[in-house]
Amino acid sequence: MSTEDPKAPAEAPAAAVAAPPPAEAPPQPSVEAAPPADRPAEKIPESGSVAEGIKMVLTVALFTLLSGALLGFVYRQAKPRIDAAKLPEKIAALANILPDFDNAILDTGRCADPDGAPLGDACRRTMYTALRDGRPVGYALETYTTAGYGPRIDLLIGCSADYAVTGTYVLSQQETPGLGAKIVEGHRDWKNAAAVAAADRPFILQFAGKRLGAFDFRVRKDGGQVDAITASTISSRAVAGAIEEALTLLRDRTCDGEATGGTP
Amino acid sequence: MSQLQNFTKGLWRENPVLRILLGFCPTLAVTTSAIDALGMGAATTFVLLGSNTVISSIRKVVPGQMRIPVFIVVIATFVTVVDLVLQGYFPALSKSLGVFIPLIVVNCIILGRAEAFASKNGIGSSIIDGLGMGLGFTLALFVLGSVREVLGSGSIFGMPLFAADVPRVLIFILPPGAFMSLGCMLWLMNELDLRRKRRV
Amino acid sequence: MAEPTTPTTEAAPAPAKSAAPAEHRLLVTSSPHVGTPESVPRIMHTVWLALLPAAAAAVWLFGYDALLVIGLTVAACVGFEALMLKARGLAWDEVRHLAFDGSAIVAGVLLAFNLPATAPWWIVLVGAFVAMGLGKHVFGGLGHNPFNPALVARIFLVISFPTQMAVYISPVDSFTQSSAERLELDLAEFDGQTYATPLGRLKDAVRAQADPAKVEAIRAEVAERYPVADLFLGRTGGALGETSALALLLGAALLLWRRIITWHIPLSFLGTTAVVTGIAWAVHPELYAEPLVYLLSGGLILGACFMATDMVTSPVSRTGMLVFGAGCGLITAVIRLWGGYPEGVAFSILIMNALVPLIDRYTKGRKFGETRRAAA
Repeated sequence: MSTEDPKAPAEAPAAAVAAPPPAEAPPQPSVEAAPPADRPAEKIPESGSVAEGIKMVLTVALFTLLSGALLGFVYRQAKPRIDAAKLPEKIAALANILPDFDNAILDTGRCADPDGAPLGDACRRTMYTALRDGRPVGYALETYTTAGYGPRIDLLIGCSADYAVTGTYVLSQQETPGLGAKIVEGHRDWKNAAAVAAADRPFILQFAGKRLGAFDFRVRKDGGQVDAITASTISSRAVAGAIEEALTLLRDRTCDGEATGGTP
Repeated sequence: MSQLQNFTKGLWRENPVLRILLGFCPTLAVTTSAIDALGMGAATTFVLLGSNTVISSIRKVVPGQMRIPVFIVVIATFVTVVDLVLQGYFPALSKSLGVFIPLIVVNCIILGRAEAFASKNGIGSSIIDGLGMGLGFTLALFVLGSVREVLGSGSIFGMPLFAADVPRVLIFILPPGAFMSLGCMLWLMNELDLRRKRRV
Repeated sequence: MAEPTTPTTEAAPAPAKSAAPAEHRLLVTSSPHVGTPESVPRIMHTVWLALLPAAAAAVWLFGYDALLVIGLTVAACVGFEALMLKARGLAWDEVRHLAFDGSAIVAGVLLAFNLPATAPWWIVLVGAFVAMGLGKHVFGGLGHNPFNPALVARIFLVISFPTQMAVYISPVDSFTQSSAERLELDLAEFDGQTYATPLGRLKDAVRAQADPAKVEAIRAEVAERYPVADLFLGRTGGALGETSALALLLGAALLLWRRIITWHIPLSFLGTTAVVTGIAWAVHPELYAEPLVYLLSGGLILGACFMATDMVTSPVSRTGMLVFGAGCGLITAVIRLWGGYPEGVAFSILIMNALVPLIDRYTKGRKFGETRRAAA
């Protein structure tokens, strides 16, 4: 039984949410230290190896229980904040990388995987539709690429209703600091991208307004039009490739006929 | 030992990182910036304070053979609390410290203080010991994080110190830079100690 | 020399035999630094003399900036060497003696050979400081450093300042043209790109392997822009001292003749690289170049003849040297063919440097009178 104990804390939060311990948790948020002092003491018989063993089991079980109770309490307190803390980044990012919209954009999420998986944990790419006055003004794709130097780059890529890039936000990346990590620079500045002088424009902003067909999304070294970050061709290539792929996916998923894409 | 000495030993004479050489995993991994280092230090200090307090208060209740599992449960509880609180209230810090917050569970400093101090001393002394050790840990991480951030990113607390065209010594925010900076700090520490001993 | 001139038997702890009289002790091999009529200064001064042809080639190829970079690097290395010796508490005349024993000069020349002609002065200073401090004196000075100081500095610089360390210029054949002028011309000629090294282009080909047409285009460009004769003479871009195979081989011949190095490390290093790249070429001739191109480009010859053979950081026995050289060659070829970096000589030597104590342990010669079974 004792082999189970080390696992207990890891499982505790999840278990506690499923079935929060009824009466015990609320009254003792911070005085966790006090109760154990007297309780086990009264149960312990003085001698005998069986009794010793029971005592050990009971002690650990008690501490695990208390720990679970405390964690359940903290988890219930923190859960709304944790969820709330995760939302603003995405909403703010979407607002930044898309034309102005007035709908609850997160509710428009649907899975955009090529294999047509439903929205859920198995879905790897989620697309959102930005509406204003009920008409679509832009689309965004939450996607990723594994072509970078690090294991994975998570990206939000936005485009207008006619599939010109309006923004790209790096949700997470592990590229080399100082080199490939420069893909993050400027990814909050899409709304005033035009004001940034071309000379010191961060890598990511060069994609503003670029369209499939009208722009070659390969880095210059490969014969394309993308100015790579100095000494970070791999990261630059990965991001440019992800943007091109996202534009293609968004176009294929949204326009039922060629016509919708063509008319401004 | 006076309580003042009990407190200050963690800062210098028995500094957990620079003298006892414990807790190198977070020391090397999350000191790429001063703010991350401070966040990690604060989180560890909190866990250390909590675990020392609880373990000291239950030290007479827990049977000897069962003390390590119980200590780990107590420590893991506090770490999970810190993790949840950071996720909810300091999402940016939680994101940049990432997996190293849950890993505080296996930080040798905490189990070390539980076993070597809190399980043998009263609550008051244990709290002071935890505070001193935690602050000593924070101090070491903060110095290392500041040095690495200034040299490697050319900034401190995210504020740039030099013009953009002044080259940064990138190696300092990469893993080899962590080892080199830590090595230099240990050397400095030993050197200061030697000088003090020579004077005495 | 300040160092003791008695031969040392550090190679073998010799448990029971330590009672034997001193004159009966046998050296397993000649000791790495002392113990022959040769002295550290004589060896070191010969080594940097042997590097002179390559230095002359660098100046001929890359102009007077090469001379400036080499001069500044050597001066900085000797300066930092003296400072650190002083900081370690030596008296001034000892410092003067040791700083000019030639080892700092050799490290300086080798470090300069690993820098591009465009290297700004502060890169040189940082590099010299790292080479002497981190590469050498942190471990206790000459003879105690496990890694080649010049390579430690090179890796430090490549990781820290990747942008500045990758600015190569095309060979100029003109002493009076500065590297900055040449760089301008290159940028104009190559559509805003700096001069590409042969290995860099070969790596581009490997990265583009999904697109056979592009691979073919790059391979054709490599064959046209870098003919083997030019690679041999050094008329190609790269770090200062690494390009001219001819000049480097001349220097290596001097070292071989003076018996400062033996053939074991260079030959096994170059041979293994040739074999591994040869196999890759035989299997995928459309993707990888022929072994001769790999042999003559990048820092392979410089590394194999002058840096892997560093007495302090290479194995003692002949067998050990062969293992060491083969390991270097294997790692170099693997990085060049399949790694993230186009060049792997520096990494391979540093990695093998770290294995030298292990190699020495397993290739230790038998002590006189010891039977094979007892040794095992």
